[in-house]
Amino acid sequence: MTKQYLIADGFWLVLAVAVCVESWSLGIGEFTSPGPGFLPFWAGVLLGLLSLISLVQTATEKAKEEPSVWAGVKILKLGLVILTLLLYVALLNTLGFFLCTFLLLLFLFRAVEPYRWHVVLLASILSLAAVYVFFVLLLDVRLPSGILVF
Amino acid sequence: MDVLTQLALGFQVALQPINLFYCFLGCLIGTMVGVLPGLGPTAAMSLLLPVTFQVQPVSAVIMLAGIYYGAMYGGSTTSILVNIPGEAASVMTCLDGYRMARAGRAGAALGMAAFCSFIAGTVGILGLTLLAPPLVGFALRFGPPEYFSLMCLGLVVLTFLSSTSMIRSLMMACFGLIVGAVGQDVVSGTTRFTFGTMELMDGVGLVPVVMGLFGISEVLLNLETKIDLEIFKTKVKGLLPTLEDWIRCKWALVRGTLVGFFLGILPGGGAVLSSFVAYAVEKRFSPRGDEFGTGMIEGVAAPEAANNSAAQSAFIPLLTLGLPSNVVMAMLLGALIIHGVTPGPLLITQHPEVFWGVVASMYLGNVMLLVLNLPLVGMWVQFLKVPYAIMMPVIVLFCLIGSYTISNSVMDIFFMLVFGVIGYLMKKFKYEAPPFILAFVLGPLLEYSLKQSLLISKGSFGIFVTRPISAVCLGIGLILLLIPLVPHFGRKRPGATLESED
Repeated sequence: MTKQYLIADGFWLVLAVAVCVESWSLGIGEFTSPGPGFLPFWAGVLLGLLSLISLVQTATEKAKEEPSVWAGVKILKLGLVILTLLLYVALLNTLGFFLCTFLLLLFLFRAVEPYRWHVVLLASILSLAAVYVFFVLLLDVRLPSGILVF
Repeated sequence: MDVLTQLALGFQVALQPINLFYCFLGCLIGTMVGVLPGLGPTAAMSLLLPVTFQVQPVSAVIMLAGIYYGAMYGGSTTSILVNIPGEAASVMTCLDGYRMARAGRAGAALGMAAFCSFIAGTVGILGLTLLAPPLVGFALRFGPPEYFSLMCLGLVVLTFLSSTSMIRSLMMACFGLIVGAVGQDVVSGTTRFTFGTMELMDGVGLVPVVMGLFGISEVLLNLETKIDLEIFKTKVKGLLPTLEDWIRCKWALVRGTLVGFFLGILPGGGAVLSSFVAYAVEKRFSPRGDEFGTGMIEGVAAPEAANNSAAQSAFIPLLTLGLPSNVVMAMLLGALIIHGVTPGPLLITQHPEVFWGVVASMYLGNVMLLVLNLPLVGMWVQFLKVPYAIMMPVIVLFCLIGSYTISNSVMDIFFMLVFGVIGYLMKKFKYEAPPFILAFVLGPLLEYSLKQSLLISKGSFGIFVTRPISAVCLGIGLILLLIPLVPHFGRKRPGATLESED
């Protein structure tokens, strides 16, 4: 448990150092004429100091009998949902909004609760129809058409 | 008289059919997200922000404001009938509200919650109407150092009130400042942290960030738990509280309204904090304080009055100083800026129709909410029966469309997903999102004020302590930062028991 929090604090420390290095290269300037890296540099310094304090606090506090951060997490389901969403981004322009979103909705409606396919199909079609009427017809929002004509 | 004339102008704007429609829509959606646990006003406002780009700024703000104060009404229904707060500001209503429902007085609890919300909300708007114009004169004395110090104070108060470690909340505020710095430097135009991508030249958009942090992260988090709502099965009758109920609640209503109003104005305050404090105050002052938690109607009246009063008064610092006091107001600030309206001391003179139109719409919205919440309470109970498995893909769909339509860019959806995962990890590792969002929104303004102040003072930080308003703000901020170091007071930090705004 403590180890997981140590890793998290360590991540912020590394990020803070990276921000400070990059801000320094942008130029922090002088107090009389602050440069573009001025604010991010000092925000990075503060983040680094705070994460160091948090790191020390976590390392020195008594080990608690708390469940792991990942207890109860369905890693496979979580990973699949994130991967599917990333795949959606990658294919959106090619397949077009409606086809791509239809496939995504089929997956999502089945992901949380395994509803029967006819329910999943109906819910996906109805959701997309509502989007078409509200966003495309009423608000004139342009969504990527991809391989479809609309 | 001048206020009345201006308010009349406001009603002319608010009573236009299109604005009435958006006010009603905001109240309706607000009540809906208030009723639904897991979806708060921040998430709902971020989902609907892109939709408002197609409409006039005043209509957009009327709708978004309606969502916020509407959620305060709706949250009580779920608290009373399901014993789960519909949104964070209704946590305290569960304690006595649900007990009343179990004792067969669900109707009286719902009725009192709605009436107290209406009365306190109206008093809050009256306060906003009367206090905002004179405050503008005071706000005009604010220069860059005062703005910088007040923004710092707002961030410190928000981290002070955080429910987890103050150090971690401050870390999130720093992270927010860093992410807010992505894009072009406001003074020199130099690009920062863009990794050579054109999409990051204008910085990371507010909408993908908030949709990711509040929408997608919530969806990912809920994949772990099965949300089953067990609605207390009772026939809701007798929505009008009895005369005895009113007599018992009169001081709870007054105290709740006052506590809510003043805590709503405070930087870092808001509806959640005020409902906690109002309940504690009522428990201390009520002659039946010892019986709180067993179904006392005062325990429903005080927090409901407080959260509605605070939801209205929180608009005062936003509309007069241009500074958001909490994360929801930060969202509204972002919305106003996107619409080309800069909130601040000049808003009333430059855009009177926006200021007075929004204020007048709140009076109308409060009446609409009373009608929506009392006779239609049965409909909202039915709404609670929609399974989360159906809601979740719809929320994702809204997030996808919302982030795409900002600039018709697939990259914005990608950023939203990235912040969704970041938000998920933040929740898992107990890092709070509100300080991040507030710092992210305020970051560019804070940087600009800091640089201007240093230019004025020729590099001396003395300018922040020699100007009275700035010195007071920084002094209070410093005290709040030091309090956790004092063992006795540190443990009593209100945030230790407070949940985040959403």
